[in-house]
Amino acid sequence: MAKVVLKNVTKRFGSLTAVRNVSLEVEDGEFMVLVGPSGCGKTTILRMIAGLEEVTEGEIWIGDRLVNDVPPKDRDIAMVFQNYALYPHMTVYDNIAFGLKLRRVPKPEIDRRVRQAAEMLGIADKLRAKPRELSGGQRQRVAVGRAIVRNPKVFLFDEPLSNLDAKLRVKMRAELQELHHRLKTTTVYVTHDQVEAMTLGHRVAVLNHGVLQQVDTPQRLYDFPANVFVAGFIGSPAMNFLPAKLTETNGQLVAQGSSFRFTIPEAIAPKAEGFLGRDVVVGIRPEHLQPAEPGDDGPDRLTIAVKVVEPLGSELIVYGDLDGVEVGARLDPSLRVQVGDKLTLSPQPTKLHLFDKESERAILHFQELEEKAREEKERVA
Amino acid sequence: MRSGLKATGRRLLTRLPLHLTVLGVVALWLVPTVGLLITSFRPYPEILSSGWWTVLLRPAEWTKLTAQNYLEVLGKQGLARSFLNSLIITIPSTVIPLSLAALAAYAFSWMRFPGRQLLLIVVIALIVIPLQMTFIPVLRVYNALGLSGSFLGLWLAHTGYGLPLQIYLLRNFFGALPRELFESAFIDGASWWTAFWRIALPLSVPALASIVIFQFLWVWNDLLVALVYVGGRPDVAPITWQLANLVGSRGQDWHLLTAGAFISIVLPVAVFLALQRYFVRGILAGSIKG
Repeated sequence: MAKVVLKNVTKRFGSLTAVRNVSLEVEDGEFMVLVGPSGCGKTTILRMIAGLEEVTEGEIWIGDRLVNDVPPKDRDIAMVFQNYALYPHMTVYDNIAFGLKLRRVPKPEIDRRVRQAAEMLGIADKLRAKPRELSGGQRQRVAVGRAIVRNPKVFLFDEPLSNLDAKLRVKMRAELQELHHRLKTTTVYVTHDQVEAMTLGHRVAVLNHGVLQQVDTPQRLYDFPANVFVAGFIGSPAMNFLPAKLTETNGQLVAQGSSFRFTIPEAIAPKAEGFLGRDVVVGIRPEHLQPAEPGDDGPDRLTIAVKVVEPLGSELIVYGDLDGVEVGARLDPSLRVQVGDKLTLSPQPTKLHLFDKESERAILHFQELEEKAREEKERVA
Repeated sequence: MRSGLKATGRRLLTRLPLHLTVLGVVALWLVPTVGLLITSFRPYPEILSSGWWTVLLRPAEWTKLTAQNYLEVLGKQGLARSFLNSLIITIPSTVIPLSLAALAAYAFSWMRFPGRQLLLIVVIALIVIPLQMTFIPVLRVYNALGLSGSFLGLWLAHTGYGLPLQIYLLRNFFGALPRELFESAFIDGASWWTAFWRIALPLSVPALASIVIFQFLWVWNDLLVALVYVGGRPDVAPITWQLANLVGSRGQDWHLLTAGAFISIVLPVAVFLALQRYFVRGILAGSIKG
């Protein structure tokens, strides 16, 4: 087991910069997920850690060794590919044993480890089969088996579940989590699926256009997104973004929108003072909007014209129009709403986010109020 | 029910031209071959007095069939010796270029080295150079080195003539193997050499088998190259040279010619039958998700 450290890593393919100045520390035994839309550079980072791509600038360390010029076979890593990459002419047993044979591990030891891995992955009865006789899920298990028998310092996963159907994906996701819990090997896992990222990662690194946007625990990414991109990428349905202007009314900072006004609580207002008079973006997650009480028409209420209603059984997703901006809300399924209705929504006061429109960076999160209150409570206690 | 029958009937009707064409082609190839085979077993006077098909019409004629022609052609005419020569020429002339071409094609498709593209263009350009253009310059070199008239000279010549096309074909095949297989092997600890032996070669068996068949047939049936580089030396001349002599010196000896021709056909057919099982479709199945 080992730490993986990236120091100011840049990768260029000709004139195209795929990864720009990324620094990242993956702790010993940590499950780190790299997530982002396609083309964001996440797979390139993984391939650089594996040694399959050269690093243009910067350093990659595995354990206490600088590995920039170390070939893949000497990095003591194992990688699981998106499309499995099984050796089609070998049996499952030989596929799993291949890496051990090349490393001249004694035969009885190979046999023991292959059987143990196959047992762990539930493919013990398939050891004599060829890859073409297996289902997609079984093939992916063989690929995982090939990685774990070697007992490497680091596991690298490149979108290992994206070729599986939805049901199997959920199952394999749980299995991978369990596997990591058991083996505790440092893992770097690439996916474009934010649900996978949130459920698997101890920490999640969000990337966009080759630039690292934010690295944090899933919950903190959700509560304190660093910018508009992360806010919009994490969470489903995506966060609503409402354009507003930061002004001062009666000595209080407010975000004034087309038909709404949010007052910035005094406790966190100092962070926003520098943005007075500038265009801002107010972020509200769909799950933090609730129907307002009848007759309640305070300034922070959002009245939308309902355009789409999606009943999902456990919840009701409603999309509507607010002065030309689409707003989504995740509501109780018992609510009676129809397309064309006017619906007044009330945001949870501590769940708003404020972003600078120009730089798209977060100015403040109303959630900080809860944090402050908790700290206060602890201090008193 | 009736509509089902109708559909089957229509399908048969639309396929009829295809079936007829295939049958026609088969007949076109088979009739002369059968004729050759039967003639080769008939005594000389019979061949002169009646056509080979009379044997099929009159079963009584079967008793007259004899292996005498084969014995004579193998013994007196020295065909056994030239059959052996052909084997000695053909096997190395198939194995040497294929081994070299496989290594070269692997490097061309997977290894990065300076000048790779230029080298590949040169190799491909060599495909278009006609064989005949090379005879005089190569023969001069051979004479100077003492290679003409030897098996080694023939092996080298066939290697040279076969390489460019084989490299080109194999490079395309290797290049189409999924990159992840090699990357996975490298991470598993394979060297370039191991990846070649354990991954690239086993997965290219269909391509290798077809190239073996091509090259084997080409060398086995070659008369021109052998004639140029070994000339008329019976101790190294291949079977094609011997056959040509059978026609040339005694155009009337049908019985010997047919027997000789059949002997020379047997081996290529055997090679083809032995290798055709390697034409496996979908050798990559199960490896990667397409």
